[in-house]
Amino acid sequence: MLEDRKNALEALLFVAGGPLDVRQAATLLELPPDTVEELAQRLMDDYAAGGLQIVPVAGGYQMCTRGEFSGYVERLLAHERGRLSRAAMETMAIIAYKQPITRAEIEAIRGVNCDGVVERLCLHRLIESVGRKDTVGRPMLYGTTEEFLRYFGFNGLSDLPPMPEGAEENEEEKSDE
Amino acid sequence: MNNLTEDVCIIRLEDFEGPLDLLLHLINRSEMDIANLQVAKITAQYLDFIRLMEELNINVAAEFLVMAAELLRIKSKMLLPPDEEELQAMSDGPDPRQELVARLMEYKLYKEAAQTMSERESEWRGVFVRHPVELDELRPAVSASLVDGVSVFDLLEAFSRVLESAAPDEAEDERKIVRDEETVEQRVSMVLGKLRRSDGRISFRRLFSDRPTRREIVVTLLAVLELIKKRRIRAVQEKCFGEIEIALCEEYANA
Repeated sequence: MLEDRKNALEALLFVAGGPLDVRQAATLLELPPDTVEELAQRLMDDYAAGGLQIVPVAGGYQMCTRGEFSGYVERLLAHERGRLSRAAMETMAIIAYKQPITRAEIEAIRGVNCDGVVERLCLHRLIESVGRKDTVGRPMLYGTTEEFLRYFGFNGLSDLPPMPEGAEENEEEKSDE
Repeated sequence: MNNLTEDVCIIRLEDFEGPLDLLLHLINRSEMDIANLQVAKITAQYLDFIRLMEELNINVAAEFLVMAAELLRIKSKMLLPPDEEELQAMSDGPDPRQELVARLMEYKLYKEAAQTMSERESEWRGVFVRHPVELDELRPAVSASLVDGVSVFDLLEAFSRVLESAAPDEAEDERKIVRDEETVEQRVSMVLGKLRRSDGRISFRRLFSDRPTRREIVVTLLAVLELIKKRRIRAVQEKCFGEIEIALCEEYANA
């Protein structure tokens, strides 16, 4: 019976493509979320030796290829995947760790104008505006998206590698004019 | 002053994300401790770099010049022996380097975090997912909202049931050609009229008179199909093999 649901979960993961939310899967399979987690874990074990893998991403589970076969997959797709520029990655890191954050605050840390980079990250849906800060000019606040979690394969923001302490103490509201 | 010029030539300018990045590079190269920043030495190297950029006709971003001014300010402050009173009055603390050092340290943290995230990106860019299925693409051309649970075959089946009860056409009996009594267009407005009179919902069966002729049935079916295609009505079947109902689409219900 449970074996059957495990196979059903596998089918759902295949069709869903993106991360499948545990609660949604629980509703579809008519099982408690805990059991779905358990089945997902067992599926992950089943897949341990194949070309596919099942990984917890963005609060759900996702079926994807195994990294070591990327060379072959890229041949099929006939292109290599792009990556973020250094400027974009720096900005991405600052937003990830300090969200919600305004552009002026990002610029204060990086010491350079970030208009273009922030715009590009928005365009790639890695960040989005999450509201406005209650200060003069009500500047836009930025935060990370679910696409960000997917892009880096994080299950949640708690998956971010820990930052060494000390950054917070010397926080000064300073921006380059 | 030093042979920075040679070094700089092999450093690509785009390697530097800004003045803080350049400072970190210079500090690193001098194997200097950020907390114990040797301002005079770093300022000289920094200005050499800026000068070189200008020599190479590279448009030096304003941020680099702001930092140059800041470095010179700190350097001059450190050269002047602070008198006791001034030391106490100074708003930004006894050490003029303090703020810059703090900024450098914070920037360095995020630079390292970005490095870690780059590694993570490298791991994950080799992992591919299927594109999430566009569920709409899997549905038949006539969207489900227009024919709730009804397939064309259900409609045809309902049609054939009506057909069975049909009164024989005079034309069939007498083998003579009759003129079209009613066109599909006329039947369309008749169907819509019936629907409006019955609150926008009527069973498929009730679209027909008690003893419809085959011609009437065919023309009615064509009218129904036409209206579904134009999205003016929906066909609804509550349960399998159940009665098919025809309903006006909302936007036309009040028309």
